[in-house]
Amino acid sequence: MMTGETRENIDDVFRLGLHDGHFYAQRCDECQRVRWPVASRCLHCWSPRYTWADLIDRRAELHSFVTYRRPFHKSMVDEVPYTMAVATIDGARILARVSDAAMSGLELGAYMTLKHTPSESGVPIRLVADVVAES
Amino acid sequence: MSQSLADKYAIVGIGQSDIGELPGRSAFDLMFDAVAAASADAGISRSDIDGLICRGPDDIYCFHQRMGERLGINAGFSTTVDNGGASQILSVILAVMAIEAGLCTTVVCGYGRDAWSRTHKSETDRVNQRTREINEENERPFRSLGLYSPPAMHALGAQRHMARFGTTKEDFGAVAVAFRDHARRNPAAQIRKPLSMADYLAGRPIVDPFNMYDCSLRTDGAGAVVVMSADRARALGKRPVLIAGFGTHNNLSGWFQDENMVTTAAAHSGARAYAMSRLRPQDISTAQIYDCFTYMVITQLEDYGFCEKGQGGAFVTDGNLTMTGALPTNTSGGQLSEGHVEGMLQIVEGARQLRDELPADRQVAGATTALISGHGGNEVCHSTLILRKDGS
Repeated sequence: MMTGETRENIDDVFRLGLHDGHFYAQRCDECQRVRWPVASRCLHCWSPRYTWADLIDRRAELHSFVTYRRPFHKSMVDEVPYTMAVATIDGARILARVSDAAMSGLELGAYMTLKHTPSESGVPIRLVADVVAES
Repeated sequence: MSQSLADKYAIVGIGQSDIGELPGRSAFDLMFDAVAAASADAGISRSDIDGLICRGPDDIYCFHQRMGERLGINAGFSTTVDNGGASQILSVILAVMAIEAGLCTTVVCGYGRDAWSRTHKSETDRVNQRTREINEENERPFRSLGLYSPPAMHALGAQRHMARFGTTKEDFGAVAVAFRDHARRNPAAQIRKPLSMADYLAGRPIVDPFNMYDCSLRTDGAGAVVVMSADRARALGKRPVLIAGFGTHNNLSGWFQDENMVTTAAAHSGARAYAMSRLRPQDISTAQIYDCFTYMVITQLEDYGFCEKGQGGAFVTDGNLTMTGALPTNTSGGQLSEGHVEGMLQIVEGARQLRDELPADRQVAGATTALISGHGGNEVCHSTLILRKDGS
């Protein structure tokens, strides 16, 4: 449980975590629901008490996706085409980039896995074809 | 829902500035032109105005104060509205509420932007607007993950709608082609070049499933309307366009939550407006739907009950939105072709269609009612206005 953090600290945990291969959400200590993006209180019960939940290696149900054919930011000039997806893990809707290998043939409702992908450019986290069985 | 407000208030004056690529014209300049035109149209002068509800570029603090300073007015009620593309109809709603509360009598509602010349000239310019820079990325770390821009946010909805209901690219194209045909009849429209389905399908890809023709324009321009009681309008010798009903609803929980991408806040907002006006979808003569992207027209038509959920693609492909269709929609060309002034010009066009003053090829024959929608505010804020021809 972590409480009393400033807003900036919570954001830093998420942002810095990405580059170390973590995708942090929060599980509320009161109502047990998972939330993302990170926030100082639970949107369901408003409790400030939570536990970090790293969603790496978790299965994610594909909610929707888009493929960029032109860059909207200078940092993405060399990345297009690339695919961004909204997916559901533990009831929380998260956002992540899809691995290049999985870009074709995506189907809504299908399961993928959120993986730490150190060899990839930018944020080293991708949704990949579902390779991990749900334990 | 307060049906006692139905038809009690009216849009009396309408006005718009030049629209298009207007370097050197600020949002203030453009809105001044629109306000002057609307005031002249209403037959009122500066000293009559005691309310100002407006919006400008998001990086200008207290836009209404700075606009009022230029107009040389003081006001019993004035504010800047911060509800994205749903702001402009909300301005009209707030005007009715403020007059009803006795705070003012004659309200100017307007919106001005210099998006082609300044704020939206590039995506970097857009996101670097001061308010966004401070707030947005801290609250929602979308950009750092690679998700940029409103086109992508709405394309996520389009993709889900296509997967769930079989909506096609050609359906999106039918929206773009119909509105371009309407713009070709409108001398003021920003783009009047012919657009065929083949042109549409060959459009430069932006973010799949959207190409350039799915996306609204970058526009410099402004619009304004004057709101007062219908009785006061008639006393001025003006023929008012009655405010028959209105509604708002904001799915504040967010675009990604629930099924908000495919069933928008228009459903609740529209239900409130229908209830106030005692009108039904089949009673609507013309619709002016907030078309930031082609897909948003299709889902809103469903949410407003013009067809069943999931049938919006077939509804537009069947030609219902054209000037000779069952529901002529975005009859000035909309934001996809006339110019993107965040829905303000669609309020102007909705009122204009009920004044019987357009050339025959622009006029919806026999129009007595107009439904206008506003959508925006991180994709989930919505407002609805239903207008009625006086005496109909």
